[in-house]
Amino acid sequence: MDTKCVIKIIMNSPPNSNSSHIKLYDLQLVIQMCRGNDEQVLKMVEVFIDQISQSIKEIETAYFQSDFLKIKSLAHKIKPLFTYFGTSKLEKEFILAEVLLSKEIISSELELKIINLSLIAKEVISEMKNDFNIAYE
Amino acid sequence: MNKIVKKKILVVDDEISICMLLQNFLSQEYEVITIYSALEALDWLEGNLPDLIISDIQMSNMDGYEFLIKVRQRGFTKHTPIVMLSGRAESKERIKCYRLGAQDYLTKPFNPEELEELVKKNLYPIHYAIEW
Repeated sequence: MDTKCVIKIIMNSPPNSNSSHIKLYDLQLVIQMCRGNDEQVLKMVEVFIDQISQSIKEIETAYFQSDFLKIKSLAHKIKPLFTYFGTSKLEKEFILAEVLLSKEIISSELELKIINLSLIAKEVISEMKNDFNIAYE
Repeated sequence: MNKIVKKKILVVDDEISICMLLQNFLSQEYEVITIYSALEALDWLEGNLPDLIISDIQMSNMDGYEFLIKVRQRGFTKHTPIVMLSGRAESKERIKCYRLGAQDYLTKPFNPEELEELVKKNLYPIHYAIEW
């Protein structure tokens, strides 16, 4: 399926309309901001995938260095993007992680949260890559 | 035939996705220049004068507050309207920006329609008021 078809399907279907599989993202806002331009939407998706992959890597590294300030800063910076790309599951995990991060203590709960963040981010990326036929590295 | 000159908006944000979203959304009506760092934006302002600046606050090297101070200190951009963007919704952040000379403050993630109105309000303040 080409990108134009994917974007048209996304535009015409209400968010999370498929009962058998809940979509991990919703591009309505991105499509609105790109004024329906398919090429721009695709570029946005590609940039989002790159940014999320990079940020998750940096968060994992910062966690193992106990650099809470850096994790907080990275999370704060990236969080608004989740709204634009409708990745509410990922956004929720980030908000919960931020609460744990504010305690600035390494805990099994926080570690679990970081692992979970990373897993959900990978799921989102994988779904986007499949939907938009973006090659895996 | 007279050529319509689009108003020029400078967007300063080190977050490439935000810059792209703003560019995609605003470029239909305006000329949008995106720059990923405040220092580079100051260099660009040496030879260019935008009609409006939209700047993020949390940026590496130079943050939005320092950028705002520098823009206000410069003669040519002393009165250029500036809209600050931030992920923080606290009023103390807004107050700080207003005291440093920002016209408006928008919290990320922003509603595109609100952004559109803020841009219009700052680019065409008198016309905007007449429409009331």
